[in-house]
This record gives sequence, structure tokens and C-alpha cells, in this order.
Amino acid sequence: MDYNMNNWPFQWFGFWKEYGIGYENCPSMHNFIDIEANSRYNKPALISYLKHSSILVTTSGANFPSPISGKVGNKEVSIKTDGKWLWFDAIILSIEFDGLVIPTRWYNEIEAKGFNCGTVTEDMIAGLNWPPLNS
Amino acid sequence: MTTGLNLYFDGAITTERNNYDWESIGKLMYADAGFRTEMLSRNPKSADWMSNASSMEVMEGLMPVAVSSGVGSWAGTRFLSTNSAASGAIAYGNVNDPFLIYAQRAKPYENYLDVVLHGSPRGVWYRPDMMIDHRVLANLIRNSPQFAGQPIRLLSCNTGRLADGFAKNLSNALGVGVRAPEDIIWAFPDGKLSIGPTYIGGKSFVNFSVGIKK
Repeated sequence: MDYNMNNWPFQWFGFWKEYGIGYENCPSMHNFIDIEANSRYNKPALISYLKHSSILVTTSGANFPSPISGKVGNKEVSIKTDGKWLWFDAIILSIEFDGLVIPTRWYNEIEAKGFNCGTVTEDMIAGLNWPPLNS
Repeated sequence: MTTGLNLYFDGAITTERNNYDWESIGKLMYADAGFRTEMLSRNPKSADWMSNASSMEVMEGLMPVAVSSGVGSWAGTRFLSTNSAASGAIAYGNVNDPFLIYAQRAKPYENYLDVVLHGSPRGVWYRPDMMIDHRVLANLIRNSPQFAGQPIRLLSCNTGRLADGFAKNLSNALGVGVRAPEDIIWAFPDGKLSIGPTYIGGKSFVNFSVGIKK
């Protein structure tokens, strides 16, 4: 897979092959590091958006150190959704500290919504595009 | 925030000045840089208390009940404790942590007492920046009103991963059987649990008995 911020056809994000077993079909986080593009983000608004969306499932952050810096969250990490996109919120630390970028298409959608997630319905959740993980 | 209150220890943080436990304060100063700074600013003798306290390992017996604190990095933070956890389960950590909230909704397993907190193969997190060992957790469970000698189900990542790891040691320390996940545990909002490297699961709980490897 040769995906990057401008070539990402999916609506899930933040699952990296560097996490190991179960994540083999995911892209490398290294393909999504762009410090210059990251610096142009409205970071407080973006991070707030990513933090305060609906939780689908949650676990311990210590299991998912950053593949770039090794930085480990000391709280929970969750798979979250805004009703259309689905993401693993360990990306928040990497956006803050590693220069991680999200798909341009997604960032533009978030910005167009004024960084306001809105209401997530059960129908939206049922229609989500999940990553190709293995058990 | 409760900054400004006079907080002391008598086995737990308290606002009452009785039964000072300087040894425990010294041990906690090791564990918490914010608390250390606060204590050093309050009382120069606290440097001696800390130097006499050897390591976190000897924290057994400390903090049977966590309370709101106004010192150091504890300031303004409420922690779940045996007194505030949902009925039928014990949880330790930040009250707003969704993992702790969802995992406490899990369907009970036989007569097991659920203990919910973030974990690893060798230790668990009493709060986000404090890892404790099996002896400290055993003491906390023993002091919990929910514990009446029943077996324990740990809802805590990777605590059952090793044959001689956290769950096995907790079982020996408490003298009861312990059931713990062999991999990462995921909690869904409806209380459903899955165990595995991904949320899809595929792994399971492992049973540990007193004195016998799994």
C-alpha cells in the first residue's frame, strides 16, 4: 500500500502496521508524517474534535506507543467516530508531537464543519467503514 | 481544586491531623514528583522521610481508600475507589475514563468480583501516573467492602499474559483464584468485552490458582 495524506480512499484512520499482529493490512504511520503540513493545522480545534467525538470501543493507551517517537499515552485510547469517519485516537498524541497528518479530504471536511462533530446516530454507526484488522 | 486545605496522611490522605504516617508520606514522595515538591515546600523534614523510604514496593498498606487531593499532581483529581465504584465491581483510576466506565458494565462472571483498572503483564495503574504491584492491589482489594473472599476477575490489559506474572502473583497474595486477560482487553459502551491485539478479539481469559502455575 502506498497511501498518504492525499491518497487515502478509506474513511478509517490511525491504525498502523507498526502495531504488529492484527494490523498487518494497515499502512505505515511513516507515510503520514509531514511536519510542514502538520504545522498548518488549527491544532487546538482539530484535537478537540478528535477527543470529543463518540466512542465505539476503548482500551489502555499503554498498549499503543507511537511508532515514531515511542511516546506512550498513560490513559485510555479509543476508536472514535464522527458518524462518517472512524479513527483510533492514539493519533492525537502523534498529531501533537510527531508531525502526523490526517487525510486531506478528512481535514477539509472537519474544517468545513467548523470543527463541530455534531450528533452521531445509530444508523451512522451501522454504516461505518472499519479497518481490515485481524483477530 | 482543594488547594489550601491542610492535607495529612493517616494511611490515606486526610484533612485530619492524626496518626501521621511519615513513612508512607516519604514513600509517596518517591512516587509522585508533584507531591514531593509540595511536601518539601511545606516541611524541610520531609526530605528525611523520603530518604528513609526505600521504594514504591513497600507501599503495601498505603492508601486503602483514595480521596480527592489538593497537592501536587493529585490536585483536583477524583479517583475511583472501593467506595465509589459501581455495585459489584471495584475500579481504580480517573472517574471519567471510558474504559473503566464501560468495563464496569460487563456481564458478571459466576461469583467473581470484577476489578477494573489499566494493566500490564507485571503491574497495574492505580492512577494514570502511578503503577502498583500485586501486593498493593491485593491490599486495596482486601480493604474493599465488596471483597468477601470470592475469586477475582481482572478487567485489566495483559495481566494474564504471563504464567508467573501479575495475575498469578495477585492470586497468591490474596489467596483466591484470579481470572485475567491474556492480551489487550477492549470495552464497548454496552459492556461487551473482547480480548486480543485488536478490538476483534480472538484471545481469552486465563485462570490462575493459588500456588500453581496456570
